[in-house]
Amino acid sequence: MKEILRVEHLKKYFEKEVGFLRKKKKVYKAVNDVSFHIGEGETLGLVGESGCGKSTTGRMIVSLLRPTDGAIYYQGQDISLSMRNKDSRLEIKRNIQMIFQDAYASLDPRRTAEEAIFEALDIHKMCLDPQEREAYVNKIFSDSGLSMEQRKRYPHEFSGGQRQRIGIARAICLQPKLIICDEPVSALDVSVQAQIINNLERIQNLYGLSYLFISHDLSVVKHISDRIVVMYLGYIVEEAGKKELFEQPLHPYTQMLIRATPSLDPDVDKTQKLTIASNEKNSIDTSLIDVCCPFANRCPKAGEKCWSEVPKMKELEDGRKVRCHLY
Amino acid sequence: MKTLRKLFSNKLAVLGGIFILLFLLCAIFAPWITTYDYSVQDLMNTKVPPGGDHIFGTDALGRDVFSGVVYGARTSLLIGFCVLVLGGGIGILIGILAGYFGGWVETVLMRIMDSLMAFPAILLALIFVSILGSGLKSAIIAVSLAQVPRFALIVRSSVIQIKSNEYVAAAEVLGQSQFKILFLHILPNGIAPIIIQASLSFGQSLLIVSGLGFLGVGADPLSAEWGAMLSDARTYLMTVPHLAVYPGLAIAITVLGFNLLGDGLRDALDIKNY
Repeated sequence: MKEILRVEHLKKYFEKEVGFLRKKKKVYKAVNDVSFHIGEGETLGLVGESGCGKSTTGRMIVSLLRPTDGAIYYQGQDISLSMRNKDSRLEIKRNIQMIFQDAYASLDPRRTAEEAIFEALDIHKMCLDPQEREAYVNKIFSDSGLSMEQRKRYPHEFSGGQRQRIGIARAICLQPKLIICDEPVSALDVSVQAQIINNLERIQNLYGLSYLFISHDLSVVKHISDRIVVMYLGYIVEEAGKKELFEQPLHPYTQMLIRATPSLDPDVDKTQKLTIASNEKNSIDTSLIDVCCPFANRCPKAGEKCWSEVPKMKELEDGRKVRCHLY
Repeated sequence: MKTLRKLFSNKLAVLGGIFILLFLLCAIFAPWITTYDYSVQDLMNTKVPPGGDHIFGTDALGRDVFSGVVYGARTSLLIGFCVLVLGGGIGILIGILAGYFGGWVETVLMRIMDSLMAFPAILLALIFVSILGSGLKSAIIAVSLAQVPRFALIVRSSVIQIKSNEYVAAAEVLGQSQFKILFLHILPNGIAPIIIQASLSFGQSLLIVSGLGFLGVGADPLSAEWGAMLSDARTYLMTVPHLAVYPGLAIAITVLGFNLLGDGLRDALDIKNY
């Protein structure tokens, strides 16, 4: 499989000035060490709890945020270098698109559905002939699951699911190679979630897309992804194929996440659930970043080494990657 | 189209529109409406009460009050228009730059605005008049300058609020340039408070220039200006009240008209209100 995106040791620190008389810079470490790659036509799931840096990672890939350190390569070329030149910048922008979590907020309230598409086409000078454009927009709309009559409507006249379809239409109309899906279904109710997910899968086959699918919902990620990376406090803690990850999670955090997923199976061990519950008293602790294992305070298996040394990403014999001292 | 329909369904806005229409008609067709020249004095017929040849009567110098009020609309329109173009234009530009770019650009621009805000508009106008000499031109410049920070503050805060919206990020992801994001997404979505401020500023600037006229430093005595007319009428307020009533009413109705229309426009421009 050809590689389309590679992210290497990405870091993002946010700085904020605090204090009134004596100003001090407070540093928030949102993303600390993120590396992964996405192959052509592949869906990579990125999971983790709120505030772990998932969205920040996605926003760095589409250049909404500038990484503090590390590099992003699109088809082998460094994105930060491409951004300097207008043509190569547009080229990158055209190829990497994004679907936002809050579809309503991501649409300009003063622009109709078709105007959102027109804007994208205008920027990249695509389909300048009016007739050709008409046909193309109709095609994009039907591919995204919208009807022609909805073209001239404003965002507030749509339902939540339909708005996300406009978001999808806007992302695919430039014929990109990679789409960053930043929790695209988290704000929708479950029946609509299924429709959007199925639509995303259909479009992936139709357009030959790769996805980076960011979500905190394991069941959604399990459904759509080929491979999954798990993030915790700005670190990637585990990377594995979908099947291996769910059948045999290695990192204690992944194990905890999978156990915490609601299940309809009455045979699921209740005692195990209880141990997680007692563990939840210890919530995420950002002071552990760069000091020791960031998960040490919540980990049932944490030993002395976990409290003294930052674990590195290890590649095991069977090709799985995990960041944990136990392996 | 929807915006217009919504505007017309608002009774108060329509009333405001009628007032403004009346005002504009007076300004445009002044020479055809009036029968007397306001600059001509008729000392044989001073302080004639309203009715007859002079519908609004004549003032202490025998000038036709009706002509004064009608021609005064021209002066007022000129003032309001200049203030909006000059004060509004500069203010909006400063507000956009400060709000969108932030950092030291914002700090420098907004501190200048703060220091301008520290002076009441009328005081600023008096300073300008004493530098540039009395007359309509310096009054207009002074009033425009006084309006700049009001526009700048409002535009800046709405730009800051709008630029954090996800649709601005979405446009950036599409590859839209900063300049186009400003004028295609941010400005159209922040137009409502600008329009309200414009309608308020129009009224305010009329009041301030009238106030300057009242103090005797605004328009020159020969030209028709409502504030100056009011000022002249003050001496005879007890004996010939009609001299003050008509220019006063003209100011009140015009300012009210702009405020009502601005209010209606704000509601009509709210896209979610259809």
